[in-house]
Amino acid sequence: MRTNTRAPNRWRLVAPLLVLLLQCGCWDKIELEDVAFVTTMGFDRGEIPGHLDVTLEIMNAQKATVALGNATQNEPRATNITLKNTTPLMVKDLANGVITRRINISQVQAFLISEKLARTVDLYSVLASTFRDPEMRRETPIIVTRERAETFIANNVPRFETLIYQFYRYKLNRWRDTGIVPLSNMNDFLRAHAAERPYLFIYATTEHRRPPHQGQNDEVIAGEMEVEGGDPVEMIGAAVVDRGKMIGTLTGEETRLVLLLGAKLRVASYYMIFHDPNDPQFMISTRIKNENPARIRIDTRRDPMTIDVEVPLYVEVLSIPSKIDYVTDLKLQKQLIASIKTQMNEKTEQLVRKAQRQWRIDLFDWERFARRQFWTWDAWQRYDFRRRIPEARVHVRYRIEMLDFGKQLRPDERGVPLRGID
Amino acid sequence: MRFGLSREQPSERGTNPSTDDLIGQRELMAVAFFLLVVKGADSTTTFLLSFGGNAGWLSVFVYFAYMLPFLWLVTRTLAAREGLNLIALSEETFGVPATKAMMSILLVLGFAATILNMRPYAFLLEVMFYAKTPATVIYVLLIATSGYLAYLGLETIGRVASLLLPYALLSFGLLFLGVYDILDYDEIFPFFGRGWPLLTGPLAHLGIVVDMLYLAVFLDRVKGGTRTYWNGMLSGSGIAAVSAAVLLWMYVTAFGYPAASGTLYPFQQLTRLAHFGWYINHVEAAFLGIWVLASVVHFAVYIYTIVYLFQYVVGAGDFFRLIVPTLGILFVAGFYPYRSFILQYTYRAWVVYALTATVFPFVIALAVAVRYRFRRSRGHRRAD
Amino acid sequence: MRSKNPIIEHRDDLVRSLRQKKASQPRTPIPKRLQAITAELEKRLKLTESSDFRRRALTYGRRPAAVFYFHGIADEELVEHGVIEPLSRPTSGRKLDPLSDRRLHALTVEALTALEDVENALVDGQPVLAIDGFRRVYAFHLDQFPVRPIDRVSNESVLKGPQEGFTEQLETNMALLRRYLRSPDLVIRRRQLGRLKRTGVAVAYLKSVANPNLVADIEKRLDAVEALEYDAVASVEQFLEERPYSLLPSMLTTERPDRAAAHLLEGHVVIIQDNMPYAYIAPATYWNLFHSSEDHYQRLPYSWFMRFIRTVAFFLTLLTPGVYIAATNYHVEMIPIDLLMAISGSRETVPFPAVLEVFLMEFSFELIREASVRIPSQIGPTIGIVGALILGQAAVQANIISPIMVIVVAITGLASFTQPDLSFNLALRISRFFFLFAGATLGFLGIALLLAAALAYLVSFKSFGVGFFTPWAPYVPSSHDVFLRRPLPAETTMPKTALPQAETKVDKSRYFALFPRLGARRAAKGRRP
Repeated sequence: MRTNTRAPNRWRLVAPLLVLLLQCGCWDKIELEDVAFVTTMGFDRGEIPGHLDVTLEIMNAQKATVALGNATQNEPRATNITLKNTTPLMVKDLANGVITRRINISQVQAFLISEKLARTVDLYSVLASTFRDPEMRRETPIIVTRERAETFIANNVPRFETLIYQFYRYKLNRWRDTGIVPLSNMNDFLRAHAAERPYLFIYATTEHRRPPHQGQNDEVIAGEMEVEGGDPVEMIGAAVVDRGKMIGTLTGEETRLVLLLGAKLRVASYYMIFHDPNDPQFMISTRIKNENPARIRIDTRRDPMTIDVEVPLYVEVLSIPSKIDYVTDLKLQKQLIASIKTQMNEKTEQLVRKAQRQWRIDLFDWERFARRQFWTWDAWQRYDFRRRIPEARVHVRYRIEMLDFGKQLRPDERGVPLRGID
Repeated sequence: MRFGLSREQPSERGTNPSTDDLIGQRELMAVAFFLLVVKGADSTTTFLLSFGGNAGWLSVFVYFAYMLPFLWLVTRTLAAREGLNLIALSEETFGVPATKAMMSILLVLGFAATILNMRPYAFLLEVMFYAKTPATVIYVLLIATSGYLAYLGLETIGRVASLLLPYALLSFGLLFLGVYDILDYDEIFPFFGRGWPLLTGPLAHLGIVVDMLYLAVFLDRVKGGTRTYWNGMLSGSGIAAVSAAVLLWMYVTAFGYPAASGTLYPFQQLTRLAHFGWYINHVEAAFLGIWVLASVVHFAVYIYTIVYLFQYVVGAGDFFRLIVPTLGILFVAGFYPYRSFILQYTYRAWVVYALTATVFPFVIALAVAVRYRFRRSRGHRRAD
Repeated sequence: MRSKNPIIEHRDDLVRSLRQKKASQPRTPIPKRLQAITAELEKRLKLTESSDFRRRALTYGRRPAAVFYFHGIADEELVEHGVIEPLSRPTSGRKLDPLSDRRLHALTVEALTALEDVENALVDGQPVLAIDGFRRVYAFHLDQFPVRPIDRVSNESVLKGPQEGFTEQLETNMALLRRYLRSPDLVIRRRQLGRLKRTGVAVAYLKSVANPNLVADIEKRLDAVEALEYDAVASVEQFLEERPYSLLPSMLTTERPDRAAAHLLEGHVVIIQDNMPYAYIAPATYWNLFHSSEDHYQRLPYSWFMRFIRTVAFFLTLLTPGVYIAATNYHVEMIPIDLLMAISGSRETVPFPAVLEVFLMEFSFELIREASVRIPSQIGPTIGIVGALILGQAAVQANIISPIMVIVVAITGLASFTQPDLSFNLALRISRFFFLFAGATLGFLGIALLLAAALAYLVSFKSFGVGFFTPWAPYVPSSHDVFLRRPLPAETTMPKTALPQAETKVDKSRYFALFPRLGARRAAKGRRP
């Protein structure tokens, strides 16, 4: 069978050339300056049901280069286009009615969805129509805005970032640590949606309103922070979406608790304040680190099932305005620990009650841990975790692994409690 | 005509490895690797995920477990008459007409499988990267490049594969590094996915990995005969199985289970998710490069196999005269209009069933016949 | 179009015809009378027209005689004091013959019987003595061509290692090889090629190491060249290689005797040529072209680092322009957004499409490079300023090209200089345009497909029957001196690249006795049949 003899000579030379020549296509070629890059896409409910208002924010690339002289001084740094009553992908062509260049959405930094749209229309159907486009990227963050997305985009002019993409990047990079907003993106949403799990979206707004209560710190949703100055955007809290529709909001602190209890907040460090157990008018500021995720044990054999969550916390007490000596006095320390636990438990119980009673959903994504106890997909489907979760018995236990007092040994520089001097 | 040191002029010690047109264990391993691993990154994943659900990555190991006995059987059968390849052994056992008939069936099925496997690649590239380029052009280029490799011979394919193997493994490693933080490791539970279909699905679709046995056709081109064949195939398909399983596992954990089975071209979508740190993201085009290289090697082996069988069936003397007609048939047949993915999937399933129903019985029959003849001839010897 | 060198293809026939020709070649006998010899020589060599021809009349015993030579290429002082002066002294001998003449014992004397040999001896710088009545002419090996002294290498300079290079004189180069490889095994066989311009070519190899088939093949190729009687063989490399059109060189060109010696030790054959300060090493693989001689002089980690840099540079040279075009024209999403914005912003004012821009810049870079080779060395430094200023700064400011383009071209250019071999360097520089073209037409798909085809061509390319990627693909025993190398003491295996006869580089039994486990495994391997 060995007939692998010499080939005709000419073919040896012609074949690679042929490959080369056949490549003279250039169908998909684009010149870079011919492309308009969309930074942000906003979706609002259209006036006609089933249609959307789509807003595109397009960057002016010339603003990125510094030394180009003053030719671009007078150009705006971005331009916004809103197309009414259309579909998300139609705009790629339609927008060229008012803009010169080819629209490219591969660099979209965030999708904005207005709360009104999220509450009334199945979000999956809105987003699904976009992610079939090859330019769409699954890691793109999704943000739910309190006002119309169009307004949000128009208002969002950050002070320091000339190009708007930097704004989203810096902002999200920061939130990654603190957990007061969930990092929601397209891929995670699709993953959750396919498994029929609820999903948390970032909640943001540019419209400030008077907060209903004062002194809430991070126990607020976007738009209700007590803040002056800074960028126009407030981004805190989460929008809860279940079965494609938004069903409620979470405050910043609640969001963090959800992530904490679902073991989603990995190595993070953030500040929290607690009431001083011995002098409730003062607040104790602490920095919490959770180096280990929460341990979640779910017993599905019981009916109703039990869910035990054990959260290890590493607490660093940073300021004790009451000047009570928690540092050296072990007894007081115990009180402090007990108080921190109680306060955490209270908040947690409220949240769990809200999830189980009010929304009747698996807000904390405990489903992922319950699945481990099943061998096959059929058994899991038969169990119907979603139906059983509202009745589940949930026990959350915080374990303060370590209490630390920062760089200072005593609460007061003088080393004597303030009260002793009086 | 050969130049310099050549096979015709043996040196003082052994023959020249550069010109002997044989492949060694390394090359065979790399060829087996590329033959199989690409299946974890093309439309075959749809099959795998449909068997196992979120345990699709386990079905790769199930395949591996199913194939091992057959691989062993082929190796043992061929080892009985060392130095013959599958065709020669079959001719000796079943006679020339039966072998020719069998090889014609294998040839037709090989053609069909190659076409059905290759067309989706062109469509994939069109959908994911080249929206305006006609799929025909991409298809032609793919055929031409693979054909060029096949035309340069098994030796060249083997060497290209062995040179690319480390890079392919490296890129898998990089891909994992790029996506490890977005994977949700709990998605692999429930561990056994859809349960029994995990075992029965691969059994019915064993034809998907029949390429391993096709390689036995070139056994006389392998240095060291069956021993090398066994070692090379075992190591190559082992690495490929682990890599493909890791790929499938990554699809499931990255996209989530019910979502992953609805994801077309998961490899490309996964490479889109890969990012290194905050600034190096959107690196899918770099992965596209190594994926294309792997696919070209993959199809070069396919085309080489087809041409080889073609040559045997037609009885042509010159290997290289047949390569142009073969590429022509591939090209024309690739035009058959089945734009729908589902239809293509159905056709592919038919071919896979057909392959399963022909190749494995043939291998078993051959093994039994050879064993029987071998015994009888030994018995005769004893009688003498 | 023939893609193969016809000389090599038909070398067997050519060698046969050469043998026949040699057997039947007419040879002019030398006339008996001195005047006739003189007249014949003058007629044949047109000596009256050459002003540097010298004829010194003298008497040999009682017979009239004459010494002929060319001024300048023969050592005139030695002719004066070693030939003419002694011959002028009276001698006691009765029967006189220059071969046994006591007065000439200090010189190498050769008796020539054909006029053709006399001509050749004269142009080789050897003074010849013609004596009336003798039918033979005597040549003295007193040639002294003006040559350049041994100098520092110019192209393959190293920081650590020997600095001297080959010169234009074949004899000097042979001597250099002998100096670097003092072994009785070293065989250097010299011959001459070319009918009008006789060029000395020497083939050197280690008798106990080099594969005899390889040596015989190279000799046969040289025979074939000789049989065709070219007027001049300017570069023997191009007559010996198989594929004249291929971008890849079949032979390694080096100007370093140490490098030639190192390859000789591994069974390669070295071909040196007159008037060319280079040695050609056959067969050459990718690794030979990729390695620099410094790699073995520097310590291990440093040499690893250098090779790593060179490997990266290899891909940078080949792919940078193509990848840039592919990324900006096809895979826009691949560029990090900050960079993308910067490129996109600066491209708005540029009048050309990106492909043309890259091509223009690459082309002008090649212009600079070509010009800087040809330019007189006095104004050489200006070229750098012109290149950097005009093509970089000014072109950017005039908005003809975008700033990033300067970086792309600079990186490509810089990376291409890291390749130690001249031929391979050129091959890389040329092929990067193909990749540029592929990237411009189909983006990364084009580049990947071309890469696959190129890789297939590379591994199927053979130099003197040896695969281009031996000993890596095909994998054969070697000292693993490929991408990286092992510590020098551990380089114990003779690479089978050139299929040498010798097995090892070291006394293996002793070496492996140093490692008990390894030794045991080897012993077990040896026991197995």
